[in-house]
Amino acid sequence: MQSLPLITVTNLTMAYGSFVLQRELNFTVRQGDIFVIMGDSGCGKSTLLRHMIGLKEPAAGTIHFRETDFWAASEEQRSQIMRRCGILYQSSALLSSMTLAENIALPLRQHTTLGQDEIGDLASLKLRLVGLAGFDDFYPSEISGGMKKRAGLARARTLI
Amino acid sequence: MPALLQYNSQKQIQDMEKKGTIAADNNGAELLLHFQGTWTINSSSPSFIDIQSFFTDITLIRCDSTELLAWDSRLLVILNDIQEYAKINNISFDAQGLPSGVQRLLSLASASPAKAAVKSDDKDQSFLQTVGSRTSYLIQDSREFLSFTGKITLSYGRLFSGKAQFLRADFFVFLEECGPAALPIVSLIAVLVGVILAFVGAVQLQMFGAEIYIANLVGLGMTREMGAMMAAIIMAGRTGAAFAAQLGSMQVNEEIDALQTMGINPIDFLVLPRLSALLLMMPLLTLWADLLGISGGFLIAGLTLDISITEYYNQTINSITIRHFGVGLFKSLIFGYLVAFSGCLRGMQCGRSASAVGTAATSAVVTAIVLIVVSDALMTVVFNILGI
Repeated sequence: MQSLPLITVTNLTMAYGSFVLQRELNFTVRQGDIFVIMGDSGCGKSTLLRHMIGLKEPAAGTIHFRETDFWAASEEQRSQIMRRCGILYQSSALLSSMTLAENIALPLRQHTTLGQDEIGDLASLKLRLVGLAGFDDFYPSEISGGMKKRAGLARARTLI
Repeated sequence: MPALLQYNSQKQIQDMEKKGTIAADNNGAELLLHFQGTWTINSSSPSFIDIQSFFTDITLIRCDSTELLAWDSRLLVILNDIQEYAKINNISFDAQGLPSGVQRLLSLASASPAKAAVKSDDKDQSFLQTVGSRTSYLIQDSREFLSFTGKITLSYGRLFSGKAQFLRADFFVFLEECGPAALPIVSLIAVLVGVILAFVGAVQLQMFGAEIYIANLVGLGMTREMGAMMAAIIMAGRTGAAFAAQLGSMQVNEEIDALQTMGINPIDFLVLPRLSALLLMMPLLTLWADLLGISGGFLIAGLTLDISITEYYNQTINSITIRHFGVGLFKSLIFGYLVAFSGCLRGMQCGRSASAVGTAATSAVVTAIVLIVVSDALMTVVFNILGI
């Protein structure tokens, strides 16, 4: 039996000003799928992801998360959808002014009512799960590129 | 001189080896190009323009590389040009006689056609086009100004309704940066501005025997205008630029994108604490600058005009009222907003490269200074009309 569609992209056109990057893209990502986007460099893979995570509005077409039309939804609804998504950036995108634990704790502080101790424990656990036990008080500038990637992964999975 | 002769002959051989040449055999409609010697970046060899005259009335170009000693991209450049020329002029190009490595690279170069140009070049624009594009840029920039103002207003709305999210620790760091950390430079400039005002006044007022009015000039000048304006200009260069650079580098590192996708509003999280800190600190800095400016004025009056501290103090107190301080403090609030606004706006607009961060910082300072001067002129006229 086919699982439920999680993300449905319909007739998506991506453009920068008058330069159209891709026209009328259609695909569905179902629950449990491992979905790969492949293409030449510069063809718009990252831009497609930026459309799907709310960073760039489509020139035309829709993106549905389950039944919700992402770009027609209110800002609060979009924010709620995004909290259920884990996003790992090419550059890790860790906040450089915060330690690894603070980076991971940030979404928990903003979106949950957990106490400081519980948040601290959760952040430590998330770091442990990516092999960064004991690195709680390190700043992103003090760790290697690979470790940053893992810390980014830990933060991406904070609310999931 | 056999040794020298031998040396010369070796040098000649080396020179020959450092040179790439082309010989052409024209057999009716077929042209055979012989590539000879060394075709490398450091060798001297002909360019395509030098050999373009070979390609008249031919239908096939073939190549021979039996006398080719060495090659690199230098050879590929001319071969690519020949291949392109042949393609445009419907001439067949046979690369069989070339080394296999050259053949592979040539086919790779021709496999990826040039993309249709999507980048407009400003240098090719006519005067009218330039005026048009600059005007549309100004309109777009004005829209972004208004949009950013709207976002900040909404953000303050969320703050007062308890929904805005930012770290309290960040706010205190910015308070420290905008206040105590800026005191030394603000103090120095304020004293010197007071000194300058007093000197300028002294020269003129001495002619009428009205030296005592230096106190009025310095007092009014500092409290109504110069205190707020000088503090604002210092903060634009110091803090506004820092805000733009901080937010700009966050933009480059995708940190702002990450905040957005974590459901955290970047305006609430990044702009509110900076703006609020500067709004709180600017009136205090201005008050401090006013007092130090007046002291600077007294320094000159006391040293050069023999005015006693009591006289200067009494004259200053009589000439300045709370209203004058109020005007200066009101201006400082507006200037503080403009400095933080410009810094944060330019930072949030920053591109994705390291050089864009520098541009954002420069643009923040220029924008802030222009806005400060324009708004000051407007406020001065309005206060004058209202008799404040």
